[in-house]
Amino acid sequence: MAEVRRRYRTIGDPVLQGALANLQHRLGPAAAAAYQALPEGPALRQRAHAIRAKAIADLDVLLAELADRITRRGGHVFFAADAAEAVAYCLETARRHRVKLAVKGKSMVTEEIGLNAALTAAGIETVETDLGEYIVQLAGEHPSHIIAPAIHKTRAEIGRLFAAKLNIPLTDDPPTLTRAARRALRKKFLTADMGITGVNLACAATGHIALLSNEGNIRMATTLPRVHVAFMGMERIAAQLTDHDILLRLLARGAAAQKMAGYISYIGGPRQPGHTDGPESFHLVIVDNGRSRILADRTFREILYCIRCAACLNVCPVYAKIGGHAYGSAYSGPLGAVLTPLMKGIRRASDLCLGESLCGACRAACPVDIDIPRMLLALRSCLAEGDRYWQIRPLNPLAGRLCDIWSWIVSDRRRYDAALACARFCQLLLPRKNGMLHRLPPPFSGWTSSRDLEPLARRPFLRRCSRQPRRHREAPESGADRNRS
Amino acid sequence: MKRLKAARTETGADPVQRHRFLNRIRSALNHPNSGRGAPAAAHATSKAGPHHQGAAGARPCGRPEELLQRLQEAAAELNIHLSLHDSPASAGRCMAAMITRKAPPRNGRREVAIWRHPLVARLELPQRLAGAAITCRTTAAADRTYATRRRFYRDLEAAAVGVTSADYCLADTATLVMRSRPGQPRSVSLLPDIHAAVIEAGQLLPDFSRLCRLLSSGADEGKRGLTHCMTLISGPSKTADIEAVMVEGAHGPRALYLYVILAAPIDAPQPETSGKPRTTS
Ligand code: SF4
Repeated sequence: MAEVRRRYRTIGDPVLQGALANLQHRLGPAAAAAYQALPEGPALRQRAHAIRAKAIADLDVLLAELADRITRRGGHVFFAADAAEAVAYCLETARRHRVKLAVKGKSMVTEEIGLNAALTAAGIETVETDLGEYIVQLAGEHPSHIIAPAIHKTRAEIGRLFAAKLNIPLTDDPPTLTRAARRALRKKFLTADMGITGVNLACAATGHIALLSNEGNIRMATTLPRVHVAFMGMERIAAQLTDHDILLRLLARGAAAQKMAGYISYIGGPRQPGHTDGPESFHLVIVDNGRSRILADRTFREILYCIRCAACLNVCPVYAKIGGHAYGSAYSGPLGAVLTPLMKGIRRASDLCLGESLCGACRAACPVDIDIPRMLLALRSCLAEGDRYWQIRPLNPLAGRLCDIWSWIVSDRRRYDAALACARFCQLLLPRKNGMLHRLPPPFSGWTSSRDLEPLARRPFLRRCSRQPRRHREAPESGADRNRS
Repeated sequence: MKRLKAARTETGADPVQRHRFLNRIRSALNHPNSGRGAPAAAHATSKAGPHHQGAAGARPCGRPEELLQRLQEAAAELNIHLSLHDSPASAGRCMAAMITRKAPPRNGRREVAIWRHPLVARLELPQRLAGAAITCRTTAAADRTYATRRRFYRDLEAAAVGVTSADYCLADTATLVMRSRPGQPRSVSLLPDIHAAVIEAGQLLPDFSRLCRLLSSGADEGKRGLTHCMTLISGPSKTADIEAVMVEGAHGPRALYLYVILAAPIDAPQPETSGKPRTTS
């Protein structure tokens, strides 16, 4: 219920509606144009899809290779089966290095495992350093978009927030606000003991993780503090550098219609002797947290190809209306509609996969050509028919029977006509409101629980047009005449 | 026992945990639901196979003039101040003039941080800037403790300009590629307000694809690899997180100056956008 209310709030907020529309208007078409402008053409997306498929099929080998190479350079690799293990490892590392202040780069997986709350509870000050995330953290909220976390806040709101929290004069000028955040965060960077980041994509053949940013905050967090802990969902890996070429170029285009991310850091271990920069202690935490369960199901394995670019959010008509918070998890948009149910329970998050329009815009926008609509449909059929593997019992066995009967009826013209005639008669007995059907009897009552239904026409459409074949054919002409006169 | 466990966590290499984790993946890949026949076959080809030679790979690597042209276009798009020079002396003069003009005093002093690098040394910045009372600090290749590192960063914070070179520059995206080396800290291109980089035209590569292939080839560059840290920089630091308004100078430098030294004078067209005219006098 709270969720529904949250959704209504977004829809009723004209400022947010404008911001979301503006974001989509700017980034959606721009990303499509950027794919077109690729030297290899938009077909590169299919190749990227194949690369991701291959990497996921070899996941165990690639992860072992990555871990070995990083360990050889003196880094530590920790394999965390679930969120609790990952968080515990980070806390233990922080404790051992007596960390008081941690600076964080934007990372979806740390949102997923709830790292910030755990660190704060342990008395470690944890500062988000991506400007959008910083704003959201100062306001005590959650990000609402994968790459534009503060898209739901206006510049005036941010101005008031900064005036209150950073003691600066009230302003709504984005450059001034950015500079204020820069000054405040510089101090944090220079005194932080630990940098925490995600991983955009690892490379098995070279043993590196790649981190992308435009602001430079991730470079700071991986350069200055003495400890660096990087969290990576176990699927975020590619076999070799030439795969990175294709995937990172597509990622930058899908995410921000850029040819190349402003900064890309390839990090393969701690600071080496004789060098100035980099952490003394480098940790890579590889997180499963329900991913291997998805991996085992061919139907949904494809969602693990995702590189978290947010292109699908930027074109989704449902996201544009309800905003990122309505999804109630770290992952929003079409990606979240598939991933969240698989991670948190399909039944528990069922309204996520039931709420999409299946328009297919997400698939067309996805840089790795993930068929999200197919998986949404598969989730719905899991819900309807039940699924042993995902431990779902069908909600209403009667619904299945009714569907069988319905398909039997519509597969034959005469049966269909007879059913319509019957329904046309029955609707005379139903209560009406302003000429609409107000309440259907069970088992159809769900249809009218939140809206009225148009009654069936007295005479079916087909019959009406077959009666007047000539007038029908002449209609456009007479219409044109009327326009002219 | 507890200590043993702690020690294992520190190295992160708890073999049991790793084994269990990877086994879970293996059995997921072989799960009946996954509809996958023989996993062994897929694994056999998993090692870095033949490198992808796509359409991009087939593109010509570009003559120097063409690369420069592409670089100029990309730099203009990213607001990079690009200038072309015939000699290090000319680039040095131009950079010194820029520093004198742009570097604001910090705490009453004006400072510049400079990489220890042969090409940067040939710019002779300390001599050129001495007249303007600007101090140049050249980064030393020293093994630093955490305490000395902190001091280094505090000094670097005070520098208005960081001067570096790069391993490569990718023409298509005006991307500087820097690998970690002693005496060439990546923080010099990050902490100061302005980042100035100097490269030779011979360091230009057409694009990211070419770089990836070069670094994973069997040749010398491939063997040298990425080092433990490789940084790619395309333009100044920027953000669009407040109402999608683009602002330059988010956390890193707010401006990027790129000086390209041509091996021999060529007739590359000079667009209006290039920072400064080519001065030879
Ligand atoms: S599903 Fe595709 S478009 Fe959406 S975030 Fe993932 S990679 Fe990007």
